[in-house]
Amino acid sequence: MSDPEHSGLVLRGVTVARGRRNVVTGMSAALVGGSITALIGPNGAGKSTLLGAVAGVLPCSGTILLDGRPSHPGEVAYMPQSTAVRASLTALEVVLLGRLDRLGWRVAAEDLSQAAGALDALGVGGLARVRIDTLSGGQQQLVLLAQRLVRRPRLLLLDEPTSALDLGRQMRVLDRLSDYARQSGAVVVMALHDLSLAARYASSLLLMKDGALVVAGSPDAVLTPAGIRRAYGVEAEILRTSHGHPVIAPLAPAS
Amino acid sequence: MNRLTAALAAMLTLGCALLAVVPSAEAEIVVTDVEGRRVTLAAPAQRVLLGFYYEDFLAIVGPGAMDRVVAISRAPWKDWRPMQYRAYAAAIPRIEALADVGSLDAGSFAVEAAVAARPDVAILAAWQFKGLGPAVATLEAAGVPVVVVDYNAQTVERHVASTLVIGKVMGAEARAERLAAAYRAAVEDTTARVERADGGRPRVYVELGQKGPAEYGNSYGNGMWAGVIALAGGDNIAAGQVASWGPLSPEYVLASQPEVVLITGSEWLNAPDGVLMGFGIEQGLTRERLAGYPGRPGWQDLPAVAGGQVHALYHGGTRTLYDYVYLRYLAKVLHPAAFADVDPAAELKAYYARNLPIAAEGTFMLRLAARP
Amino acid sequence: MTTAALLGGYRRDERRRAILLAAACLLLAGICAVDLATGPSAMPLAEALRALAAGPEGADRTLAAILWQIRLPTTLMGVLVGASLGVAGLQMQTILDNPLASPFTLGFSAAAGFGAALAIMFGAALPVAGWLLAPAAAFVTTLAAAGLVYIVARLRGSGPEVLVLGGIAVLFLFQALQLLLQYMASPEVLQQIVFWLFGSLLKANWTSIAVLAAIMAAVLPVLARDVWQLTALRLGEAHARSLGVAVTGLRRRVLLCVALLTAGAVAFVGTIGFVGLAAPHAARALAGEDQRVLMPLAALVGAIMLVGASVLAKTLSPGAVLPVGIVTAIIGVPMLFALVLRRGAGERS
Repeated sequence: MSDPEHSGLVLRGVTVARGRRNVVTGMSAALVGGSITALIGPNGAGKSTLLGAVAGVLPCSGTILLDGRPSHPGEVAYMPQSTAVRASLTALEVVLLGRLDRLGWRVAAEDLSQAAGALDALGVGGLARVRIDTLSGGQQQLVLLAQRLVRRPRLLLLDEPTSALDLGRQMRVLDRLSDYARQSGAVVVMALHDLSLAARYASSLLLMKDGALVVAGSPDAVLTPAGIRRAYGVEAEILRTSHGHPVIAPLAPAS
Repeated sequence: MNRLTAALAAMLTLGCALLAVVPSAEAEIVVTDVEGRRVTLAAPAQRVLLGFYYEDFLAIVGPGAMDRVVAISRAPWKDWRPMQYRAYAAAIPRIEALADVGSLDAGSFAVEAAVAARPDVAILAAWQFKGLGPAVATLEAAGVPVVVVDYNAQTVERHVASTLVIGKVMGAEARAERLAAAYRAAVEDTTARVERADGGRPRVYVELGQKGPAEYGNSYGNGMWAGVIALAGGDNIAAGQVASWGPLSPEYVLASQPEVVLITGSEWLNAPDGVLMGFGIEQGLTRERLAGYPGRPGWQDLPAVAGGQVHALYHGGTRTLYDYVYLRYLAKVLHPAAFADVDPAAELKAYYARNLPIAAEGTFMLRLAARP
Repeated sequence: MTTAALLGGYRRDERRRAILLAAACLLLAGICAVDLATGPSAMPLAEALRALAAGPEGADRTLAAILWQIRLPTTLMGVLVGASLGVAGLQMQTILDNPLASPFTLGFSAAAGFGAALAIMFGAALPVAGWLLAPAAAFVTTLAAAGLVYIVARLRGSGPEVLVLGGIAVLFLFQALQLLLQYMASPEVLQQIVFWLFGSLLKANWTSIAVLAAIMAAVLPVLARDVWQLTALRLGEAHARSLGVAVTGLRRRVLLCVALLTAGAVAFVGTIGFVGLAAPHAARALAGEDQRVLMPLAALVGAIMLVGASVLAKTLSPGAVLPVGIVTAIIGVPMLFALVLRRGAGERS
């Protein structure tokens, strides 16, 4: 039961401290469901830290509300940036774990087919019976992503989910995530380095620098040469593809 | 010169020669201890560091023995045989005042304390000698000759040799000869009777009764009680199973069906279920502790239990000059007819009365009556 | 691969694992039978079976005593202790995220040894039977060690590093205390203490079996409930948390379970090493990481290992008691080597 007025993710004055330093300071934003929101910014801007705080993994101060109330773990899925898995579970078993709360001593056919379907949708169905610790980094990422999706979370937080993937798989994953957001109305927040991908797939962007929100808005509003110069210290040109997608081409470091 | 003068001159020369030789013979003692080491002492020792074998030392040296002792290793006496120690300390208060050189087996031997007591000689057991290792050289370098004796081997040869060595070192050769001869005679008498007896070799199971009936304590395959059993003409079920000592498997004990069971006890202070015996221990207490053993699983059908041949023996009854008493007790149990006229308990009392300053008051050997 | 094919494959794997468990049970039953038939009395199998069937009050009292008071308790204790150590070792490896962990990693065995040494040395002061005092003391000190580690975990977070460091500190503490007692002890008491540390199934009696069985009956269901959470923990803390697993609470809960199982196992038979380390690895090599199968299999492999070691010990030294802890080391080491080599080969290919 989502209250239309309060649906989505609301952050108010979120501050995350690491040791004595504030990595994220006073972050406030409102994110809607049903589409992808990209979190961009230079290294050390606090993107990973913010995602961790929203996921409940890192302690923070401030208010985080999902659909007008605090979130509970069952509806949140979080994928950290780089975590190699050493267990000798098969990919299918790993994805099955996404339905942890519903599993009993016997695995129901329903859960199995959901898991298999999730793997298929990301194009790694063929790895279902392969042990995850023998997969490449990119393949592991895909399997773990399938696991998060199988949970059908209301809030999906992803930290650089495409970092180890090749061009084709990147597109496939982002297509799948867009589909998921649209079909389920979930709030999907993704930290991305690739500005062009962010511009293409996200409907709204949050640009962070030095732990604070610099600007939020649509890709066209945020990704301007001036904004990029301020945030990254780089001179860039915004081009358009034949499909109308913006492409950010860096030219030279800003003087 | 006529023949008479020549003879007188010869006698005079011989006399002088003898006079020259005799004083030096009295002045110096050369002893070969049981490890084959030659030790030279200027005179019979007046200040002794005694490591072990306290009772044997007292017996050999006789009255005033402890006046010639300046330091002992107290732990093996006071901790292992507390009541025995107490009895001796009551009779000879000097014992409590002696310097303690620490426990030679736990590596806490205090060389400094030993040397500070300025002993003329250190008399150590073979196991202590081995345990000390390089510390022996330290002692000798500090001017303390080390003499090794060994009653633990439980052989007549070593018993006799050790006794004579102590006698020579202390200038008590006469007593030493008497005791050694008595020991040898007793053992020879025992083995002769055993040979004459025709009761076969009954199966014997010996166990250290420190932990009580609930747990199977050590048995002896070699040395200590194993030696005693062998001499007494018994078949030790632990022989060949245990290297020197260790517990036997309960099932093995049952399967061996021993005809005689010996539980050895001592005056332990911290053995709530153990078989207590020794100085100052009442017979009733020993019997009470021993009575639990026939109740072990499967024991009621053992020949030893059914035949009333469950005995308790004082664990301090080996490796000493009077251990022939315990040997004879066991031999009498195994071959009653051949030892009908032998009373080991009386022999023990007599030994103490003759050689030691205290009386053997307590429980040292006991037979548990068969259940009616 | 189609979903239907995937389903079929998974179900086949499940069946294979069920068969594996059944086979392990059969193997355990078989080795128990061998253990019951082995012993210094050298009675033929038929006689042993007859004595078993005749019950504890059978006509031949000696045979009944041998079978029912000596052999059967030893075998049963081997099964229970082996199973406890197998499960405890597996979960210790899980919560510490460390394949080298064993039930004794956090100092539990050192604590148990200290407790037993205390009881052996000073037990006379208390009005409790000697045979009961050492296990009770060992149990209490093991739980004390677990409590210390638990306190560290509460104060500094229950991450694996914190647990291991806390555990090492506890280990050294109790080892030092144990050495102190050994130093103070007379040779006979010292030998008792050392023998206790070796571990021996011959100390088993029906009371200790009942107590350990009760502990297992209380603890195993708690662990069973967390089967999926523990499997998820194998993915690493970050992923497990993201799946909604309350990792901190899980670690603490499992720590207590492991402590109880270890305390129960060690208190009655002394410290038997290697079973807790090798059994989980063998089980994992056979069945993978799914804890629904891995936990029971670790228990079964542990039991098989220990009962097998008992058979070997009885064969090698029929008369004297060869502490089973020595034999588990003898068979455990080649087992570990084999597992390491196999794993290395698999990764290289």
